[in-house]
Amino acid sequence: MREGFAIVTFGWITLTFFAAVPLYLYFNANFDGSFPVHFTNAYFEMMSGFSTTGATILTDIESMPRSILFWRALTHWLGGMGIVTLAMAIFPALGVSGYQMFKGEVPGPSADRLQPRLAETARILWSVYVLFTFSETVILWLAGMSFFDAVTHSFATMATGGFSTKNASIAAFDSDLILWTITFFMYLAGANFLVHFRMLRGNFSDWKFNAEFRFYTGIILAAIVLVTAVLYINGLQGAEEAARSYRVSSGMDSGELQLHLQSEQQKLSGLYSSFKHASFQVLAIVTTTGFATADFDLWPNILRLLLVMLMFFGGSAGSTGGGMKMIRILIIFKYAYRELRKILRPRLIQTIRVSGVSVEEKQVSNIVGFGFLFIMIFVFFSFIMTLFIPDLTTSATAVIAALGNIGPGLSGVGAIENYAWLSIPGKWVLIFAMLLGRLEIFTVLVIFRLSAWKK
Amino acid sequence: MNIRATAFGVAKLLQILAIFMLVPLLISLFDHYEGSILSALGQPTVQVS
Repeated sequence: MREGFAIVTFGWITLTFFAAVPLYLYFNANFDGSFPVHFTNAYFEMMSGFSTTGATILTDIESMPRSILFWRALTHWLGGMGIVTLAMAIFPALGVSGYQMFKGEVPGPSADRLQPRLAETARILWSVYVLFTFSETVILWLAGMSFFDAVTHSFATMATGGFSTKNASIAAFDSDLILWTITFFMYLAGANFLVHFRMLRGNFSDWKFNAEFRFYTGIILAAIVLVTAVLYINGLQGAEEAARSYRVSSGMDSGELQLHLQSEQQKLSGLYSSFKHASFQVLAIVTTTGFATADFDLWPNILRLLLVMLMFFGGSAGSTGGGMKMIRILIIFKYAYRELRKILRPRLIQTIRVSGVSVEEKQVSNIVGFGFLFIMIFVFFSFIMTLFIPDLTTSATAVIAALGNIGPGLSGVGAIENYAWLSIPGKWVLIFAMLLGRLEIFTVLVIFRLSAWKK
Repeated sequence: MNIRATAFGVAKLLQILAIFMLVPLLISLFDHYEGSILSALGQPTVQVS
């Protein structure tokens, strides 16, 4: 029965290896000296693709051939809904425990199923995924993107990945229609696809009664209001001092920094512009897509911290998003509140209810355990990363950006930076963090237990 | 844990990956032979001097 977890974990490691081979061959054949040719770079890029992290080691994306750009986007798309889930939809009889594999790959604390047969649920998830990807491609194409860019950006959006075909990400298109289209589809990609399926079938009760969906929407709206207000009132005041230290160290001289600041300040002039960029960046971080239309690293510290906090939250269960997942955050909040009440009323017996249904204590402890493990791994990996990165903000946010499958962090790995400069051991730490984050920790860690291998 | 069952499952996943890998390969071939393909189809090609 435990083979399910092993297939998912080893499957992901092996797939990434084979997917990295063409990229490595390309790097070797077209080496321009901009970064060291090493298989780690190709493996990092592909793990970032499959896990839908979107962290890149490419310094000049636009110089890449279309085949490589398409391959990066395709790895996002396959990893987003899950290649094991796709295999289950195509080959229902893989010969091993299907539920374990499904649970091992589909994000969220419990693998919901709409149909008694898992293959049927996998097919439903993939059908909705394909439908949304197709719709976004058509809209982006009509909005002015080339067909190639429309396809690759739809793959990256629906998978909540973040790989773009442009160096400046979505900002390169300079189109409000494209920006709002991607914002809307990021919102869809971060919500549970089974909720979408029920809505497509005409059942809209989830809007009202699904606690996770309401929590997800509520957090996004609250964050957008706060970010818009701070950006509109404060702008980028004080950003120059804060940015100078790491921008200069990453190769930007004072003059370039000044020009960059001016252009970012211009972007945020007026209420509508602040709202537009606030909405896009909040969705890009909450859903863990990681696209950028603005350099949010220049935003006031309160907003930088808010975005880092949102990186932990992530999307919904059953979505393509990363992070801890909204349902877990909601249950941990409810658990903490219940424990607080128990201090005042020790005899209180209260079950935690979500969407009107009691959550089993077994599942509550699983979720609290997951939350603790997630934080511990973040802390432990951040410690390790400080060996490779001198700046604490960079090392900690690089870890959460990898573990939460977001992509950009802050400072040295901010919205306009990349991971090319990171040392080889540092990249392997992040590769492992991406895998742990995408397969939600337990699936990977369970195969390290010796008892799992005993017959 | 059954190693044979694990290897069988991983091999199935690799099969799927191999199918999807054909798409960028075709794009690469098309980009490489774009001029010849378009002229074979009777389409005008752009000359960059």
